[in-house]
Amino acid sequence: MEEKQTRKPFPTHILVFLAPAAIIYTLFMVYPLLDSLRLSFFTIGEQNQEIFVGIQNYITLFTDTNYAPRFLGALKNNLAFFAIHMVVQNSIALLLAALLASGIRGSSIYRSVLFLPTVLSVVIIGFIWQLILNPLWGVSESILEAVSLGHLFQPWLGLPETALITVSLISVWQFVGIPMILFFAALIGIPEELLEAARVDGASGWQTFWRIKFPLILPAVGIVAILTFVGNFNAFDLIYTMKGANAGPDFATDIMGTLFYRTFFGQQLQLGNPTMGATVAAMMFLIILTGVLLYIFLWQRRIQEIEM
Amino acid sequence: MSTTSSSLSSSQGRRFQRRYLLLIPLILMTIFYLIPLYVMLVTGFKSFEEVSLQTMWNLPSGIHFDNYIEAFEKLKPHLWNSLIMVIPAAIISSIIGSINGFVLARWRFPGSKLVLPLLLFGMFIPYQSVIIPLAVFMKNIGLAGSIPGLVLVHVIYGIPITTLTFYGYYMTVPKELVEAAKIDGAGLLGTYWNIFIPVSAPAFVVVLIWQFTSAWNDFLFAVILTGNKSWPVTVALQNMAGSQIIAGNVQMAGSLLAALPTLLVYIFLGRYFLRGLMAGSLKG
Repeated sequence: MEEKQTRKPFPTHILVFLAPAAIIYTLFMVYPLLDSLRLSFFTIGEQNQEIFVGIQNYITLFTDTNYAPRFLGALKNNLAFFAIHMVVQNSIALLLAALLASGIRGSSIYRSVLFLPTVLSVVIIGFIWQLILNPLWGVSESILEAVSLGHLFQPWLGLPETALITVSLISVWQFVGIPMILFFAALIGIPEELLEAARVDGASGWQTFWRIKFPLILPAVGIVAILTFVGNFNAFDLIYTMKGANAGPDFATDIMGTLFYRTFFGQQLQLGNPTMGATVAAMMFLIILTGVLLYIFLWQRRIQEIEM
Repeated sequence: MSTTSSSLSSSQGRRFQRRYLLLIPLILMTIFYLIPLYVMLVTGFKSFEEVSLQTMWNLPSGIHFDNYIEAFEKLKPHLWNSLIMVIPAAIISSIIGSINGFVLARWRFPGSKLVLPLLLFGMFIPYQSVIIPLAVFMKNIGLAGSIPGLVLVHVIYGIPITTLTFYGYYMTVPKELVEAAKIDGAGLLGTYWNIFIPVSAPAFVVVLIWQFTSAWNDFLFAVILTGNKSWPVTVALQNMAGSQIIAGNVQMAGSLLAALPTLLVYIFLGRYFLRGLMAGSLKG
């Protein structure tokens, strides 16, 4: 307070520092977002002019026989994609982090290897797993045969029933390192005295983990959940790389990102449609915004209450 | 020696057993993570006949560099595109992030409370929801389909995360240091240059690696905003496999070539990267 009075009333030099960022932010975040939302209320006429159609594009997206099944299918698949990441990726990550934080020797080596795929391009990861799961070259088939489970082998990526799960698990495989590191950092940040106190009271390792460590790393759990949510509903490149823009077989792996790409650029006989593309993009924005707002207003607020 | 020592050693033995039990899942997971990398490496060195047979596990019969040469010929211009795109993108967005983070962390100004939520918003925004107008805008300013255009986009969309990282890091710089600098008559720039920049190396490592890998691995911006001359390597690799019948061995060789820069960065700087990332996430 005192400091403020001795200083200049308005620090213009700070404006100079921040002005470029503010201008860029407006030009590249605010304007395109608003323009994209605006575009979702228009359609392109015969003479390439924009015609205002109100919420017609949204009605089309939800009810038109060409769009609705694709949109609802992509939404459903995307939810499944997210659920698999939440359940499989994040619990494995938590387990690995707990193991790494238990003072095992050489933990930095395991950590580095498990984090490694996250620094590689999704395209590369997609190629490698396609090769491994390829039914003709039979790598995974030969592994399964080696443990006499050969009969279980299926061309998982090609079957409509298993393609989405397989693609999701490949993505889990690639990105497990990120939640693992976040959990690990939270776990080693727990004060030793707390754990010592629990040990003196005779708590088992299992009890200590769920009663003391887990509640203390809840903020990290929230961060992981929201990062997973945003990442999953933005996802595009893995599906595009492995299954193409048509997200086959029979749209079984179609998610919002691939639907957007197809709608915007068109596919086979259907021409690309920028305004419908903008409508899909607006839905993606709404979904992610909802998730982030829920995180900020419900989760973070509750966590703060608990901490106080 | 005595009974106490024998009971001690048996409890120690149990502890050892437990320790090994904990190691098993970790070792299995690590193997599960090394196998695909092994497959990529050995397949790249194999001849065509070896790949098409069921010999995925075997080591190549000899070291065939032909695949790498073939893949390199195809990917060379695009590897170059990626390099000249990623290096400036990483450096510029890190510098901007550092300046922004410094200002946010050390000076309160009207509206400064709004900046962090805005940055978070910028970090979480789905790129699909800005990309249509962005593509039009790039065309209007004459940067569509060009490397500088892609650099610009990566710099800009990198600013939120670089700023937040530096902000978190600069919040930990002791207040006394800043006060001391003020007493010595250092201005805003002086404080930044003499106090903050010298201690910024760990944050720069994290941010540079993060920006380097995410720009290198980016696919969405690249596939929409560049043309086939300016494709970075990710898109070129994808098209190399998609547009023609190409053998798995060349594809894997190409994958390794495209992975090499990020792999090298990770191998040499990964330790600092993970350490910095963990230090940062503790605060976040």
